[in-house]
Amino acid sequence: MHRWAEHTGELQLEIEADSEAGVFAEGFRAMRDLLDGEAPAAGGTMRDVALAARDAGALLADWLGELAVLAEQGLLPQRLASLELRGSKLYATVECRLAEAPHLVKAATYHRLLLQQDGERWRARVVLDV
Amino acid sequence: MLARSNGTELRRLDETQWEIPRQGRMRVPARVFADEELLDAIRVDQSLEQLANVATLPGIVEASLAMPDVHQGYGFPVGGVAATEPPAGVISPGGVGYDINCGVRLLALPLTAAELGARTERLVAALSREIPTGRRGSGASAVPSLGEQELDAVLSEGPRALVARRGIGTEADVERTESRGMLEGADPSAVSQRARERGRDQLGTMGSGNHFVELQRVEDIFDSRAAAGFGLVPEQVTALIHSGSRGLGHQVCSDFVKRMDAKLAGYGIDLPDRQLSCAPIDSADGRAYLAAMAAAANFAWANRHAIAHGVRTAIGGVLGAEVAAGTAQLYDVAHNIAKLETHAGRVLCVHRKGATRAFPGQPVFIPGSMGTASYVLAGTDGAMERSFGTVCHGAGRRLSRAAARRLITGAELRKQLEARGVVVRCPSNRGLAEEAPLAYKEVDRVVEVVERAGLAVRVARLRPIGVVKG
Repeated sequence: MHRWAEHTGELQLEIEADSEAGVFAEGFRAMRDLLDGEAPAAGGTMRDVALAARDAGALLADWLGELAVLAEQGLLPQRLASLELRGSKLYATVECRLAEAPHLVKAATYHRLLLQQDGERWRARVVLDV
Repeated sequence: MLARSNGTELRRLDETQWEIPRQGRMRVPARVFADEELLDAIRVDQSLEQLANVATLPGIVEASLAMPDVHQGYGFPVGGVAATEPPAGVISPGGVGYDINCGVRLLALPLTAAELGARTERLVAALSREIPTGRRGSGASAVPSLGEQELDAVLSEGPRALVARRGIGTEADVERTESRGMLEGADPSAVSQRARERGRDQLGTMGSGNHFVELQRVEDIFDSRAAAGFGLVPEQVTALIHSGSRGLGHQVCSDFVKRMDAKLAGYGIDLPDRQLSCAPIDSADGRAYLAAMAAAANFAWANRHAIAHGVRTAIGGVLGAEVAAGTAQLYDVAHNIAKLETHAGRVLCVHRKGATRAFPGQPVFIPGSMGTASYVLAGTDGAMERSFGTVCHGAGRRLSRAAARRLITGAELRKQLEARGVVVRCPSNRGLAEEAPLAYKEVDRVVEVVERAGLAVRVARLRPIGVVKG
């Protein structure tokens, strides 16, 4: 599950899932809804994503930022075809539809960045610059 | 007088300035320009905590500063200023922001609002067609995708490259741009390939969020002499452009936040927030960022220059070639940038994040919101003495985007604005509602505090008559 918390200037995404990979998948769903605004549709265009970061928190921010860049390029993420985490590296295939993004996100920031295991749940927080 | 805000102790220094005394990891105090009412609005979010965090940056001098429009941002608050001293002082990409050289450009048309009259709606529609909001859109005036050499020229020379290579705009426009639209030290090779790809087809595009092109009329003149010097007369029509460096600048910031975040320990720097990641100005990372940031800043000036060309094209189509040719650029000023400047005999790196340079006599533009007013100010000696030659950059948000949407819909706002005589074009009702006037502080009060603090003087107030939102 995810929620958009109050933030005066930007957008603060808070995610909770039962695994680290679940956090990344839920982050995908949040970004898809934010960037598109339409119901998920068949995309037809596949994009491979490979990322490496200093730690898992930065990797999550980089992942959300990557989805924002795809949307900026007219590739609106629709479906997460595959996702694999290996340490602080991510490999994913994203199905996109070709369209101008109705809403743009400039970047996913490292401000108050959080990704941690809390008992059996994983929690994350990322602030997006819009 | 002491007051507490979110656990932060504030001391009143004078009528318009408050201080968080140096404590904990802070290297200098943090100071806020505000009156009581604005301070109440500022206290409700994390602006002051972020300002105190900025005061921990290595090499920061005097104080971290917040302008009266300050609000919570990421790392730095929006409306924040920090000056650091080379060589050990740091440069922080987050202190500039993702939208490097986001800023405003004001054009003055050679006619009055009454003379424009019923053609306002046609002109706003033409502006909407000419100036793409998203990536490329369908705007006729977007500069076609740039080749490698031409992109290098824009990154090195800014708008001057568009004048020389494409005949877009004029040398007079370039002369009336902060730093003549060209920061020294720009190095295209410091800009990543990914940033280049993101920016290549975005020149002349507005972007989304709070970016806009607004038609206005000069409602009030406060300083006739300064207004005449700027070329403004009562009831004149103006066009205010708000945009930045688009995806190219966003990527430059992302690249360097990540790069510096990974090297903080190596520099022996410990920060309260990763988004403040930084490097010594005189380090290889610091120099590389400054070179890339300068290139992105030049790109942003070229972007507003290309948008201004779109504005003149729209004016030409609706009002005729003579009016387009007589549309003069008043000035263009950045509000997300870091610059090496001399203050009180010291060379400092002045970070302005949502804050505007305001050197004595220099025009400064303070956009309000779609339904209120914008201001033309002139910088003063007081700004040089108190704020490293800086003032605010707008009204400053007071509500989150979600809170704004809960209070008004885009459709309702359109009706309200139209009832006030403001013609609106915006592709998204959601985006329109998020930028509703009720989401912002009162611009008149923000500007009044700036003037009372001695940072700038009011020259003119501009009332919106038409707006194209990103």
